[in-house]
Parts: sequence; C-alpha cells; structure tokens
Amino acid sequence: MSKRVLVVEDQEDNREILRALLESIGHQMIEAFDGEAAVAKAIEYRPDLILMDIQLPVMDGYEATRRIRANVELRSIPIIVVTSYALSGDEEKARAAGCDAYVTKPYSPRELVAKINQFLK
Amino acid sequence: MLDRLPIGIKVFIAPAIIIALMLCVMLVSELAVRRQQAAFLQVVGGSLTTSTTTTRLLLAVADVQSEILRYLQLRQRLAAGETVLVDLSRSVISKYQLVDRLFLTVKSTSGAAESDAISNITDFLTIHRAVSLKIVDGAPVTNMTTSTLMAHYQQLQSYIVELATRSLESAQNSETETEKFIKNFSYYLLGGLIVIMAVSIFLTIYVGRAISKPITNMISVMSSIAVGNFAVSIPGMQRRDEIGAMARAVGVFATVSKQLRDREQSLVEARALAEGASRHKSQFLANMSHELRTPMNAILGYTELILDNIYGELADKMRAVLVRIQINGKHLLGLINDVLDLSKIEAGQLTLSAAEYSIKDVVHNVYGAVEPLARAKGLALTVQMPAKLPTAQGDERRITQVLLNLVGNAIKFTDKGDVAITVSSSELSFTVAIRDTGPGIALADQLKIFEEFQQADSSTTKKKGGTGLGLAISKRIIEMHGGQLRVDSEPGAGSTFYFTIPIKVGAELS
Repeated sequence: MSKRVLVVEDQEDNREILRALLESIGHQMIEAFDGEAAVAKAIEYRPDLILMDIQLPVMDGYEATRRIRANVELRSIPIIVVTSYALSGDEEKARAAGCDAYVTKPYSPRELVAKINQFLK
Repeated sequence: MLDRLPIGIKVFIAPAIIIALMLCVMLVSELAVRRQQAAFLQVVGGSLTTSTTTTRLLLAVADVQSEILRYLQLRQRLAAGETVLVDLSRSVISKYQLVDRLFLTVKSTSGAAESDAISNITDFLTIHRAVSLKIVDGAPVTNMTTSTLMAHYQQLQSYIVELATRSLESAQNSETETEKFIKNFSYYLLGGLIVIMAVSIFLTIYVGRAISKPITNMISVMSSIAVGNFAVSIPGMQRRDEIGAMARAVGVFATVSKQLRDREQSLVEARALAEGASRHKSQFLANMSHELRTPMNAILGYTELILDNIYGELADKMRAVLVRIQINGKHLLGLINDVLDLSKIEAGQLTLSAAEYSIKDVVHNVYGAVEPLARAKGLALTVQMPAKLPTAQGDERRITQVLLNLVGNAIKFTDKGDVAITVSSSELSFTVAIRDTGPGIALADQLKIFEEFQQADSSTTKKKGGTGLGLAISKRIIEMHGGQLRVDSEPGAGSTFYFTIPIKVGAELS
C-alpha cells in the first residue's frame, strides 16, 4: 500500500537517494527544501511520515517540528529526524522539539528503510 | 639631620637629653643649697653673733663702769693701798680684758655697714680705758674726772646700742633675703621640672613619630604594591638610616613584583591566545568533520542503492569495484567520526549524558555486534560476569563505544586463540578486562598506543586498518567518567586491556 512521505532536505543528493529508496519500496515522496515549506507541504498533502533534516535554510528542523506538533491536525504524523548535526545534546534537542525517531547521517539506506517501515505499518 | 641617625641611636636621644636636663637641675639645686647655707651662716655666724656679742659687750662695759664708780666712792673714804681698792683695781683690769675679747669678736663678725659704729666704739673705748686705768693707778681724782668718765661712758654706751640695733637689722635683712631666695628658688625648681617634663614629652613624641611615621608610610606603600599599584612613590629612599635601607628594599620588592605581575600577565595573555587558537582549531575540525559527512552520506548512500540493484542488475566485476568503494568509504567515515570525536573532546564540547544503565546490557550488545567477526576469524569470544551487577550511572553510548573499540581491537589483532571479556565489581567501581592471545605489545609501545594517530607498529595500520584514534578517544572517555584505562601486555603473551570506572558517575558530568 503506497504511503506519502514528506522529505525535508536542502541537499539534492540526499533527496535523490531518499527518492530512489522510497520508490523502491513503493512509497510516494513529497519534497520540501526548508522548514517553512515543510510546514506548508504538511498542511497541503497530509503525509503519512515526515523525514526531517535539522540544518535547513529559512527555518531549521527543530522549529518546523515544533510547528507541526503545535498544529492539531498534523500532530499525529510521525517525524524522523535525519541529520548530520551530531554534536552531543542534539538528540535531546530534537526529542524535545517533538520528533519520534533520530537517525544520524550518514545512514545506511537499508537501516533507514527498516526505521520507516516501523512507522508505516 | 635626624634622617642620618640609625633608629638604634635615635631611640637613645630622648632619654639622654632628659637625663642631661635632670643632671642640670640637680647641679642647680646643689648650688642653691650651698648658697642658702652660706646665707644661713651669714645670719647665724655674722649679724646674729654681732648682735648678741654687742649686747654682752654693753653689759660688760656697764659692769666696768659700775666697778670704777664703786672704786671712786671707796677712794674718798679709804687710803690708797687698801686691800679692797687693790682687789677692785685688779677686777677692773680683768673686766676690761673681757670687754676687749668681746669687742674683738664684734669687730671680726660685723659687716661693712657697722664699720662707723665700730670705729666710734674703738675711739671711745680707748679714751674710757685710759681714764679708768689712770684712776685705778691712783691718779688724783677730781669731780672733773668723774663727769668726763660718765660722759665717755654714755657715748660709748650709745654707740654700742647703735651697733646692736644695726647688726640686728642686718640679721633681719639677710633673714628676709634668705626667705625670699628660698621662695624664689622653689619656684625656679618647679618651673625647671615643668620645663623638663614638657621637653621630655615633646622629645618622646618627636622621636617616636620620627621612628613610627616612616614605618607607617612604608606599610601603606607596601599595601599599595600588594594590590598592584606599582606607580606609588616610595618615600625615604635617600635616608641613611634603617628606614632608608627599608625603603630601598621595598623599591626592589616593588620592581620585582611588577616584573612578576607583568610576566604573569603576559603568560595569561599568551595562554588565553594559545587556548583561543586551540579552541579555534578544534572548532574548525568539528565543523570540517560535519561538513565532510554530508558528501560521505551521498557517496555511501548511492553505493548502497546501486549494490541493492535499485538502479537495475549489476555486472559482477562492477559489483566487486563498488564493494571496494564501499569499504574505503566506510573507513573514511570511521576516520571522520574519530576526528570529530577527538576534536569535540579537545574543544570541550564532548559532554557525557549520564543516565542509569546496565553494564550487563552493554557487554551483551557489544558481544552481539562483534561475535560474527570473531567467528569469521575462528576465534573463541567468551564473557565472564557475576550474576548480579549493580545498576550503574554514566553515558551508556560512550561506554559501549569504548568496549566496542577494545573488543574490536582484540579481535582485529588476534589471529589464533581467544578473546575473553571479564567484568568484576567492587563496592564503588567495576572493572572490565579484555584479554586476547594476540601478538602482545612491547613495554615501550604501551604508552604510545594511547596517543593520537599511534599504533604499536605503524605498518599495522596498513595491514589491519583503523585510524589509530580509537584508544586515545577511549582513554579520554573513561577519564571523563573518572576512571582509568590501562594495558598489561608482553610481546608473544597477548594483551589485557582493562578499564575501571565508578559505578555512579557524578551528576556534574551530565
């Protein structure tokens, strides 16, 4: 069953890898390049899952996660933070913002697929 | 002038001056007493003697006169040569001798003021004596003789009375003078004592201040220097006494203190600069590592997608090359991760997130992760743990990282035999030992392996892979937990790495 996954990522290569990965397991990918666009796309498409980068232009991933969590209609969408922003305390900050899982880059695509499947069952 | 005298001498000046002044007063008193004595003697031995002797002289003269008058009366009735007359004449002569003696005393004791009276008395006494002696010698007596004698006697008597009055007056005068002198003298003595006391007090205060003031000044100067005010001027540098020596010593002290402070300041600045530079370097490394991960993600991600046939079936030759790309990419990522860890440690950005954890779980997780590697090399991997272990507190992720590194190393360097993990605990800490049957490490290399980018034999890096950063990072992580990481090894006898960490790591590490 095809699901809609919103990928918030400013790096084209990373988006490309995720697109190939998601399409290979039969999911539809929606893209957003920054935090503000992420919130807008979430409202527009109501995705089943969000993959959120932290270091983003305009609005960072923490703030975007907080906005989505503050919206009653979007609140229940699972959010996986995917970031190379891996200084100590970053995971705590992401969890505090309201994410459901935390994956550091570089990730193994296979591991990420396993994580995605956990939330889309 | 006072500045040139040593304090040791200055201290004696005041008492010396006071003693000298007191000696003066004693001398003056002695002189005064002597003068008073002289004055007393003048009254007692002079005027007073004159006065009393004169009175006696008057009586003696009256006695002589009455004897002569009696002789004259008897001469009219008796013949010359009668015994009574002879006796009387002898008596008159002897009484004159008494008169002479007394007059001699009067003359010797009388003062200049009485000299007129004395000469008058001398004259009239001579005449009176001449007339009297003529009578007792038997010269004819007439009425004229008697009346002349009487007249002379009266003159003599009045002069003697005058002398007595004069000498009494003189005695009274000198008594008054002496009294006045004694009175004045006691005033002078009192005044002198007051002056001495005033001078003593002044001298004591002056000398005291002359000593204490420069010392007080020096104390405030030294206090200023102590708080770092080196610009303060030091008084008394030119003095030749102890204060001068002290001032010069304080000058040296101030100069040295200033040099020390300047040196310390420049050291602090240099240190701050060095620390800043080190922080910048570490920050740069941390940022670089982060930036390096993004493209690594794309490289490894695409590689894995291709290997997973997402872009279609892959020729075997191409797959083999891609596997090499993947292996090398992962090694590069390992390097980047280690450098990031190390630079975070150097920059002080690696903090522990302390939470409760089970060392048992840590060991089981690590065992699960590395067991396939051991099996692939034909090595036995064993774990020995007490059944019960206390719940520990610390950064589970970091401790897992350390154990993974140590066990991974053991498997990597051991070709034959086994690797054993042993956990033991005491009341406050537990120890994890990882023993292998590998080549062992020479004593000289046992310290080097904990340094960055060092392996016991640099050729092993090429043979066995690895960044040479793992042990350095592990050591730092264990030390951040308040523990120690050590090695026991001998070439050919295998190695045992063991770390001891407190069961509860303080909350300050979180």
